[in-house]
Amino acid sequence: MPTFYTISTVRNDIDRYQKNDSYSNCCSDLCSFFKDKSIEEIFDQPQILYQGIGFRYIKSRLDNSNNAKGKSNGYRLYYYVDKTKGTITILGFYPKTGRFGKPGLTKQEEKNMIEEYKASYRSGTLMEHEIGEAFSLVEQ
Amino acid sequence: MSYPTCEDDIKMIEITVSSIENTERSITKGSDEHLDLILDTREGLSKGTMLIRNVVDDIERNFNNYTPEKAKNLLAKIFPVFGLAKSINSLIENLGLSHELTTQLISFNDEVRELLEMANDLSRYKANISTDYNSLFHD
Repeated sequence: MPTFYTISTVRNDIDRYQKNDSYSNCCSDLCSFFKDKSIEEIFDQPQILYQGIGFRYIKSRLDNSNNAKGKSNGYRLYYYVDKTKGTITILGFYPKTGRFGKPGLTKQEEKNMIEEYKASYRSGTLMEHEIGEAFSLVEQ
Repeated sequence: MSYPTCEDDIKMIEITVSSIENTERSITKGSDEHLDLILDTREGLSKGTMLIRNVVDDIERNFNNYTPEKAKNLLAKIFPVFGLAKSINSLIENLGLSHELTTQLISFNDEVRELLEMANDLSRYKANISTDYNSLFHD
């Protein structure tokens, strides 16, 4: 069973989304995407943006069940999969449309996201989540 | 499970471009009957929307297997869609048909934006890789 982590920017974004009617199901959409998938299945998800030894950096398109308009009006998810450790860290999660929607990540935004991941990993401030329905934090 | 080859992907894109070109031509040519023009354009936009969605889904499904060369081939084939989409939007606006075609136009433009995002991903992560992600993740 894979273990799921987030960086603080993602947690803050999720807090904002949950307060908006257009994205209130974001956590269950996130959980539905990962639920019942093995680390091997997650490791092979499209779209692999980069792969190194034992890890992959992946972007996936998710439906937004609040609008049910397909992936083009859904979410974008960036995550780092460490197959050896069996961990998935959510690096970025944003909607394509609506108040918090954006067309994509700039190179600088992507770099900042990865830098935050590295800093959080080194300082031990990545937070663990359970993949149930609410993507709730696991008590440390 | 067998995935379509890159040649299949390219054929899908060619069919999509051809369909959108037909829609553009039919709007340009116009029709004596206003209602016919609206109905034909609605049908063309809906077909274009579905075809672009299929192309995007297909590229997503096969993304992990593309080589830089294949990605470049796909990008070259995809590129005309954006010019055609812009032209169709202008024609519809100039003919004052935007109101009658709102729903179809929104869906069509959503999928064009989706294709643009996919094209950007193909370019950034497959065809023209300029970032050293190994260093970025592990330095």
